Amino acid sequence: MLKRRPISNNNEYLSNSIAQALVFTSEINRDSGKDVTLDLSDIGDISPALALSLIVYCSKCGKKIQFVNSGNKRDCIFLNEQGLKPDNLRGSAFKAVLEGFADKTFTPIISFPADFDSDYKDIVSSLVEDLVIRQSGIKTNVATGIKYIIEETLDNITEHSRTDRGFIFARTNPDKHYIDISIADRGITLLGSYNTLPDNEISDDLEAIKAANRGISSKNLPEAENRGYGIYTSKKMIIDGLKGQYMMISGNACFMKDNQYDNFFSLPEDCRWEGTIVSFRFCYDVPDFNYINFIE
Amino acid sequence: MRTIDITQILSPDLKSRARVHDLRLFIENSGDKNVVLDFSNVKFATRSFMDEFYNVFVKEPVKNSFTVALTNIPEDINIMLESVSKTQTKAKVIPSTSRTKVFSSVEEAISFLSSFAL
Repeated sequence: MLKRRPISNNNEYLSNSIAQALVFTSEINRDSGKDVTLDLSDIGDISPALALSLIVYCSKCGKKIQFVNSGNKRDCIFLNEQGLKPDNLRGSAFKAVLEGFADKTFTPIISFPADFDSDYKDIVSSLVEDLVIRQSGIKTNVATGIKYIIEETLDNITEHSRTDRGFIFARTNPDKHYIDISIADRGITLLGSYNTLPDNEISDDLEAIKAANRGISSKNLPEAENRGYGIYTSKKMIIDGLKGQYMMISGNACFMKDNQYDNFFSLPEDCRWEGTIVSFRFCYDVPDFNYINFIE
Repeated sequence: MRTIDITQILSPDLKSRARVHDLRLFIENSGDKNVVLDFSNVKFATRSFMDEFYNVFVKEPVKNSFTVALTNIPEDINIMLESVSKTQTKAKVIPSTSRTKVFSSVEEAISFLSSFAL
């Protein structure tokens, strides 16, 4: 068991989740052993941003990571299993497990096959969207926006990441009327995606995350610059439409934005995620929101 | 001329670029030369799907072995189709207003992000 520095139990801000994740990942790096045990007893409800940051990091760190002192509440999010896997269950069994979450304020962490030819991404996204909408009781106008944001973010996984698996996890705060959703992959990172371009000039994770958030797609056709709208439109919906916050981590670069802040961060090289994690938080009591107003 | 309810081939939620190509293959394999795609049961579509749909079915129809007409398109889906048609050769220019901070150590990053109010 690792002795760990005190860790903030503050989930008030998305950025705190990354601070929490960095505490754990730095401890993993410092431990010379191959088997590492992390104590979660100081953590309250595990935020989606923290959970998927840990899963992506742990799946590629080359060590066997076990989470302990997680209690029943955290056990059922399937953290130690690195997510509930629908491809290990019959379709009806997977639906049955999800139905058990209908009266909760969180989904399980779900890990789904993310290869281009797989149907699982669409199956999982539909079921998770329906579950989140039922759990939070949100109105149709916001529900459609949530679907759009989730689907566009998941499309980026299958289009760009070349990963074997994607992850999704959502948690609702019914007291403060907001929803946290994180979507992640353990793929080639944004930099890796740009490196597939023949004339690529983007050379590090910071440049890559800046380019992605400026709408420069790694799949723009030479005769038609028609892509790169997914991230931009989703951010506008979340921040301008739903009064929310947006965060992205890829490699050792991070981007955070809301209506006050607009920041890129370059983390030390040993704080590197072999994948991409997108997290957002948004209010769901926004009567005048209409997702179509944000489509360009 | 054959009318195809697009949701019967795909789903009421139109998503994933790959499914556009599944639809195209379905029509090709049907042998029908003139097809009407009925959108009346469509509930939702992503921009990515509509962008791929536009490129495959609308932009250069001569590349297909069939002709396609669209009918009963819901208003919001039509708005999305119009949007993608206008941005085919328009790169999204997003001005950069962001700040950048470089952390030299993990301790510095933890300390800053613990107090950063986002």
